[in-house]
Amino acid sequence: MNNILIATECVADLPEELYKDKDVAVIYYDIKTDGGLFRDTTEIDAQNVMEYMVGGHKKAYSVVPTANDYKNFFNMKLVEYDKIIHICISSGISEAYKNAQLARAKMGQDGNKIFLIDSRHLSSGQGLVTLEAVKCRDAGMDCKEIAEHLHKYVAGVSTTFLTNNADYLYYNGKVEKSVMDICNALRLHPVLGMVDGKLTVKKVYIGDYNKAAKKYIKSILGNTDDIDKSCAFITYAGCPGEILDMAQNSVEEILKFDELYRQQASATVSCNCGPKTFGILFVRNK
Amino acid sequence: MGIYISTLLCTSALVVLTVMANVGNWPTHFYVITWIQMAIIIYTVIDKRIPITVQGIIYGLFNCSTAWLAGAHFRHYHVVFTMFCGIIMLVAFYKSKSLVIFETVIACLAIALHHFVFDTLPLYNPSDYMEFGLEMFLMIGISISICTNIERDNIARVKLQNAVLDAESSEHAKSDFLANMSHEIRTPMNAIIGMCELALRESSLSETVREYCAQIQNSGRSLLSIINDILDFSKIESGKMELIEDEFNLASTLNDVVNMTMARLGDKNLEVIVKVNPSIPRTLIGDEIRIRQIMINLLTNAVKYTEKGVIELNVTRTFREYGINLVVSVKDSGIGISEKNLEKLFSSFQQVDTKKNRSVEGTGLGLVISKRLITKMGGFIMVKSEYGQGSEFRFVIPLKVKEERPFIQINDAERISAACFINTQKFEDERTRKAYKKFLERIGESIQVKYYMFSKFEELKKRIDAGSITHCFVGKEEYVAHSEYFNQSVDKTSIIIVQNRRNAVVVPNNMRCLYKPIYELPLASVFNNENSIINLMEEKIHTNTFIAPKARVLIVDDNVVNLQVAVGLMQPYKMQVLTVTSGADAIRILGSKDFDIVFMDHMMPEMDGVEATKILRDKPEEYYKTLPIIALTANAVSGAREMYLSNGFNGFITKPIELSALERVLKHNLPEDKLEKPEIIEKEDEKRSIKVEEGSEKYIDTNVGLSYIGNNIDTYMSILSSYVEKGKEKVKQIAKLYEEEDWKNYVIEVHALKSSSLSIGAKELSEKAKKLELSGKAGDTTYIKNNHDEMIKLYAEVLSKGDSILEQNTAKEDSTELETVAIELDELKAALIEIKEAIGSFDTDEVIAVAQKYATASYKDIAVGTELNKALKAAEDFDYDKAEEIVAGLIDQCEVEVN
Repeated sequence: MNNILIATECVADLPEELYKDKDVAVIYYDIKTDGGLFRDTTEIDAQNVMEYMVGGHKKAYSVVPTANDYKNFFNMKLVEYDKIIHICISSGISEAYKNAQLARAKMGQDGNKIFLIDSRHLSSGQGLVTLEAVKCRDAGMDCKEIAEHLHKYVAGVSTTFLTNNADYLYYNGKVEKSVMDICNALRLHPVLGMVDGKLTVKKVYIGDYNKAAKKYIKSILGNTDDIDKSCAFITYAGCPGEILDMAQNSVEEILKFDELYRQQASATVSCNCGPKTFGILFVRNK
Repeated sequence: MGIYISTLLCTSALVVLTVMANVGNWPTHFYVITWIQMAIIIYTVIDKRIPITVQGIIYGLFNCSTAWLAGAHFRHYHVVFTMFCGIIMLVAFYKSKSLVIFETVIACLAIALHHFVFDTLPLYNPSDYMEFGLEMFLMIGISISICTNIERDNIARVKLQNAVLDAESSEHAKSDFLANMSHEIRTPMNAIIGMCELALRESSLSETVREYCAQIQNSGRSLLSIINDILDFSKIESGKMELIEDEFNLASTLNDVVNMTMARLGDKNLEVIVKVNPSIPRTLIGDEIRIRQIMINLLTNAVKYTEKGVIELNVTRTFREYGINLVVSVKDSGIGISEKNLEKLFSSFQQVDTKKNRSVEGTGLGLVISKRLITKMGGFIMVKSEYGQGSEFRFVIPLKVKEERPFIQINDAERISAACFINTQKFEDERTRKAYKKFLERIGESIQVKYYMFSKFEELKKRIDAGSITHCFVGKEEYVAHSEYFNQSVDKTSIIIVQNRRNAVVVPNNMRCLYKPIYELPLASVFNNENSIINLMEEKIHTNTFIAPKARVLIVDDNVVNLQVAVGLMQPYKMQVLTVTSGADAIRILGSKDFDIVFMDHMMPEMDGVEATKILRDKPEEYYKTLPIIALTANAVSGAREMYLSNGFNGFITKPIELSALERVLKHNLPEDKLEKPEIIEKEDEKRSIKVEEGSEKYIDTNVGLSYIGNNIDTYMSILSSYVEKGKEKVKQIAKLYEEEDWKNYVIEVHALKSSSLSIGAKELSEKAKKLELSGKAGDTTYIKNNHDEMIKLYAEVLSKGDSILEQNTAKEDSTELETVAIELDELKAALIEIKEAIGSFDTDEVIAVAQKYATASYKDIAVGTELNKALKAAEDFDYDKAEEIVAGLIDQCEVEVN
């Protein structure tokens, strides 16, 4: 019987206990600061990043694992497992998938044991794809079947975030400066979402952030008929508890999920989106 | 901003539309629009969101261009009026009220002239006059607004300057206050801790007294730690915290940190598990003292907030291009922290859950200081906690690497086959059982030796009997249960009993003992046969961890008594110690003799320690550049370390000297090849005491004096003798300085008197000298004049009592009663060679030995013994030159050849 490992990256923003319970392996990104290079989760967390960037007025950059890092990671896991299904962050916004492919190519025969999935999402959207992979594995599907299933599954995942402004998106080269200036001048709060694997501005709200948050939740959940109620995430970075409480209440007013996780984003995601960012991530059955 | 721009745009649009539509009389519409703009400008002038000058430019340009577009002639008074308003606002750039008022007056005058004198701007009807009036009113209004703003700005600027000055002065006052308080508090604190240290080193103490001393010492250390925290916090808040980066070995840091943690456990039912990655590089570069401080803070908190269970310290590294990230985590099974309280965890002065934690000591500064230090080092700290379950604090610091070799290495690891027989079921707490079991299971893999865990005695016995186990680690309870077997098996395997210090079993001589926590570092010591373990059965005392008989030390202090105290403290190290009493003498002696380390007092007359060090460092020879020079000071002010380092010192020690600090400095600075394993000091069988007359403790408390020099009676008597002898001159000198009102040197003398009196136990005299010193420094000559006589009188009494103590306790030498013994030439030569060599190597002990051996010797009617005794006295006064002269004179007298 094939012993399959489901692996993903720390940017999948899943709770620690889920990684342990579901036996999911994780490869970690690094965060570069003026002081050095720190491993996401084990050496630096989202709060550290926020304090560093907001409190210290400094920039921190995420560093994707190199092909070598992936190779070492896969080799280490293959000692215990026969095959690995690795779910990557969307190739449209990161080099991670490309590096993982390079690593697989360098592994020779062992490379055939590695199945790479481009999640087309980030953060807990990627996490939802990972959890689906776990379900498939536990249901006895083989790697090829799991890969095929996931390629269709990703289309139903909804990954969106409401940000306070566009500053961090500009700092990380995701939007132009003019976009940032307009957002600040007009107190705009962009909603970013993954569309075809790319991060785009889906909507913009103007005015008070709390009001914008309520409107966002109402809008994004919209038609609840086809939403998979088994699991959803409220994933956040640098968000005060009151906003998260409000978000959770708002979501529960609209739809009751079996499992609604409140999940702090990883340091990597946090340093790219900035503080006062949260998103509702779930799956629509298609 | 938005209002202004949008209003300008709207009104401009209205003007253009009005003109195009030719609706009504355009100048009227134009006026109306302009009044609205003026009102807005006045509003924004008050609001100050846009600089007045910019507004002036915008207004002037805008209205002129609009008027021109509308076809108004440049002479139209409205245009003129507009221009003048713009000019007034431009002039506001200079922030001068008089200029603005002047410009306004000119503008009003000019317009009035145009209207009433030159008739270039005629007024035709009453409405024109009304408009004229309104324009004047508005122009004057702008002027008043601008002047008001300028006035407000000026007042605010002055207030700000005064506030900055106040803040700076308050900052200085605070720093000075803290520095003084630091000195005033640290000096007695160090004495308390130091005296307890000396007391604890005495083998003759009863267990009860030993425990009391340990408690006093611990409390003193706690208090000192609180003071240090407050000073550190103050430094951090004022941005003056500097990191001192140097090479260090993490092994030493871990050793200290773990030992301190174990000492703090007290009666708590806690297990400490330490897990260390052996591949951490041997020599790192960083601020070791601060890293230690952070680790101790976290571990102290873990101990404070955990009543039972386990505390785990985990130290590992991640290799990076620049060196490593040192990752340290402290996990406990304590009370945990609620989510709400996690937010204020790193806030100053706050302990979380204060009601519940009322009994927990602390200032609440430990975590905030740790976090600031970590941030300053470029690192991060994280915390995970579950209320009621426990917490984990983890910090990461980037460090450069000096030597990459792993700091833990097992020699001949292949030959080692270790067994562990420790029953983890004996721990009551389940978390402790699990953690300990997991720890024991993986430790062999960590240090990479063959390692077997046994839960059953029979299995272990089989392996030992088969001869396949080189080292057997046995828990205390397990040893006791099978002691007969283990006692008989010492020839088959090396038995190491693992136990706590409290309620420890007596370990047979042919076994070894490892105190908990066991972790990679002490295990490596065991496997490498390093002598770092204390065997309980030996009733002998280690007072120091090394001796350095080949090391040469120079101590520089203008106060002879201080010198003797310092020499007394250094005696256990068996070093060759020379002393001089001035910076100039130090420079001279360093020119002719080599030393391995110099201890230099800071405050000395004529040439102080800083000046002397500077002169030494400026010399061209490499020796002077690298010679370790350590400052001795009683004033541990903020910034002292930086001051000493920047003035060429390698470090400093505060007075009274703390033995652990002295040991650390010596170990760090002496050449490694001069450090040797210490001798074992046998217990003293005889109890000696000093005879004193009743009531003399009021003047000289000999117990206090003895406590400063390790209770060595001989050394104390020697110091007292020197104090009394020198005192007879000193008392005259101080009186003379007083008469001459030479306050500078008076302060230096009473400063020296303060510490020398304290070292012989003359507390009251020391206190009076201290007050006079402080008054002198503060310029309070009135106090000096009112109290000097009293001090001098007391000084005389102390000297008299000192004389009496010396008389009662020193064996009288009566040379007429002593029988002299004639010695032969060969014996004489041998004695002279011995004493000459001893003097040449500053070995006072050897000089004493020779002088005592030949105390009654005579050669051809020459009282050799008497002369040798004189040389001895000179050597005891550290006047080795004089001692050499005496011996040379004796050689000439005896007419012998000695090479």
